[in-house]
Amino acid sequence: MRTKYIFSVTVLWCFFIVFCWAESPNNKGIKAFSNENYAEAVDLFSTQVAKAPSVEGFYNLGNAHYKLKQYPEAIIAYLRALRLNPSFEDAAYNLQLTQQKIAPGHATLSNMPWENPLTLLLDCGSVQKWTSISFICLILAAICWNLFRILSHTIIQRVALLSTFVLVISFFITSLAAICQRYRYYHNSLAVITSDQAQTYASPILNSKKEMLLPAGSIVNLQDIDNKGWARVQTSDGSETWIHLAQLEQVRDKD
Amino acid sequence: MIHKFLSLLIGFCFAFYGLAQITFRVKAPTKSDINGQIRVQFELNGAEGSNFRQPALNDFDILAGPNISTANSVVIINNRTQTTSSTVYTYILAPKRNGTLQIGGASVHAQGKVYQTRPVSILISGKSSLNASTPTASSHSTHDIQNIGTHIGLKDIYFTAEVSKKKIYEQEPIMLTYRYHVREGVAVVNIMPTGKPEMKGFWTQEVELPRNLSPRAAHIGGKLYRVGTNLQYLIFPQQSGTLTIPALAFRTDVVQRNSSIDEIDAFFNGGNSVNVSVERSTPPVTLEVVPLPQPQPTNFSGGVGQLSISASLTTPVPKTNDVATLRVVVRGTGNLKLVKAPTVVFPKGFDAYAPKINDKVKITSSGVEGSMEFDYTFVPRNMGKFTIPSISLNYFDPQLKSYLTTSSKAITLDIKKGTKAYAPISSAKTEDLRAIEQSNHRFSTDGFLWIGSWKYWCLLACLLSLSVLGSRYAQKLLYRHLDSEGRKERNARKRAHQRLQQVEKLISSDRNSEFYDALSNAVAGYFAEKFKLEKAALTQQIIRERLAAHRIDTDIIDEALALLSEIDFGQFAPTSENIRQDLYQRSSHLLTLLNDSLR
Repeated sequence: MRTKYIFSVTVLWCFFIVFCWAESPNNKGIKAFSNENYAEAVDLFSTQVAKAPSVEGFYNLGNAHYKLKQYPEAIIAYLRALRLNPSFEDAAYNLQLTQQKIAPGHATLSNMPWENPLTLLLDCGSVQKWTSISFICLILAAICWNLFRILSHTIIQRVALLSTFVLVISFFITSLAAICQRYRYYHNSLAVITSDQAQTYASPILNSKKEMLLPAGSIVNLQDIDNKGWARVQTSDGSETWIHLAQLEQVRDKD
Repeated sequence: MIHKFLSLLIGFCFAFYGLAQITFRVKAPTKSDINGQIRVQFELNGAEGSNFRQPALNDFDILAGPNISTANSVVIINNRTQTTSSTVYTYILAPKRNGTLQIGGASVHAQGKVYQTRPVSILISGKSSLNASTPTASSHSTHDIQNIGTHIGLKDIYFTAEVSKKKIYEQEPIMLTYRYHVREGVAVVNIMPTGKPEMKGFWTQEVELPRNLSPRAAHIGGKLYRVGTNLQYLIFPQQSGTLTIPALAFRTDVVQRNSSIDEIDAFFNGGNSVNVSVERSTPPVTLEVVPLPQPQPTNFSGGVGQLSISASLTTPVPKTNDVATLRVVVRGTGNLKLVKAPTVVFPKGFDAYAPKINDKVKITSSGVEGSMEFDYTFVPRNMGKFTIPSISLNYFDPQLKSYLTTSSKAITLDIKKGTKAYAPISSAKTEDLRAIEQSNHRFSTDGFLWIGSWKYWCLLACLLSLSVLGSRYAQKLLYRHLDSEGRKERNARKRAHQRLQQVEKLISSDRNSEFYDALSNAVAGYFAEKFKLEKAALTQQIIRERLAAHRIDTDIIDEALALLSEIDFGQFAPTSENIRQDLYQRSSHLLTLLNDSLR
């Protein structure tokens, strides 16, 4: 009986070890990328992010698309990585690099008309980062409050009390920042033009006045979608126009 | 007085004369807009007319008329009754052209005589617009409505698909117009196609039609029709051969009146008309598309029509590392939208990028015209004089039936040294892509650090609880720190142990009195600290009472008091090392026992 038990546990452990050692799609993708099999790397990274979305997965997928000169797809992947972690510098850099490939002097993400100093400040961290900071502020505030109650020295008490007050305020501010980032994550309205030259219109009907042509890879901000497959978008120069939904891909997945 | 009477009499006479006179007059406006409708009335007063002959209306389409209305008036003067009649013949006309148009004289028979109106002229001006979009229910006059049950024949309403040309070159644009024809006397509403026209082999652009226009009148097969345009497309055949534009079905509602319903009931019950749905299809249209002559030039742009090209800088002459834009404009008529971006050969040392395209093409009923602008962005890296060579455009002119080449002028640039640094991102010959990430952390929206998730709330609750507990613990620590007497009591065992260690060192030494002093200090000092008394205030009685209060066994109390007595005696009489050792061990054992019991 005991022998059987030991045998079962050993087999289970073996399976567990083998499972851990089995190559994940991410590792295979990295291997393919290193061997310059970029098409295979795109497939592997795509599989990976479909099963388990991650910042690194989208970022690597963007790099693989970039190597294949699939710039609109690369831009979409980088934007998805930045949606998960807005402070991911490598993804922001590579995004800018890819945008330059389409047209130099292109407005960077931070210069887009829908961005403002507040959103840029919020993008210094992801939801998780802001939450971590808020927890740290809460813990420090508790420590300072206890110090205030324990210590007898007047000046140190005052410092402790002031620190408690500041840290409590910081806790609420960083929590608010995390809430804002969470909202922006769920309401991300960015989209990327996927058609070569997407025609835009003044109204959501085909025979309305035609406006600019947007090249593939242009980033737009979705304002509204009607029930006939038209989207009102804001372009990088601030103007609003209508475009057919089939000509763009939204950064936010159908989650 | 007499003068006044005579004036009145003369006035009445003129009135009678007027009433008795038969007149036949025309009423028409002197000017009108070419898109407007003109009401012309021929009014016969003083008699009933017959054999009305309409005037010459060659310059007009008759939309309605003649509508005849009669009126009678009765005048009683000095007990004499005079009845007069008037008849009005009304026409609604639409002018055919601009200019001064003539309406001839009409004639009518009244009381044995023929009366004629004089011809009139109407000045027509304005810009003719295209014909109608879908007419609405209010656009028909009530006398157009058929009675319910009236058969709606194929000739009553039908649709056509017309093309501007039937034999065309590949890529040559032609206009495809879908029109409805509704016979006068049939009222229709809501004319809509049942689907989108499928035009395989064509590239199509829908033409925006102006809104709120009236249909035009037309005589077809001896009958008057209202003709309007539903849809208009500019189509470009993409392949040669015989191409067919398939039939397109339209659905419309024919309004018919139910005369059996009383007018007043109809007024209160939403009307007395019914809509009868009718579907008709256009016939298919066959086109012969001739291929463009072969061989095609190698640099053929795909343009078919009459085109020209020009190039200019839209930004000032750049300096090194400045971003500049060269705008190449292809202008004219034809398939402008399908023209490939012209090839621009930039000088060496210029970084050039894919062009941005601005569509300035207008599609109207007369075809495609306008321009396509290709903006080429470039960045010169070196100083010096450079020339952007002339840009050529090779296109096919269907009128001349040959390929033609047009070119822009060359542009010379004198690039001076600029102030901007070499742009790091776009200038690198090798790609500056940041390295791929080796790690992979699954992103989750229900983790501990995802604000709003249940895990987040649990963690927050834990932290707050820990804070509260930590605060209480800190307070407790503070009280214990401030309670010096309590501290002494808590530390009594520790101090006693330390003192016993000092005693142990003196066991084997000859310093008998020091040994007993230290031992007394350890044991008596323990009791003094535990009972928060001064050492001098300790007596055997107090020790017994305090120990009894802590429910210490009587044996242990006796042992403690006996030990204290022996320590006191030992200070005055030297003892052996063994005795000292024994005393030390008993003291240590006693203090351990008491410490456990006196917590």
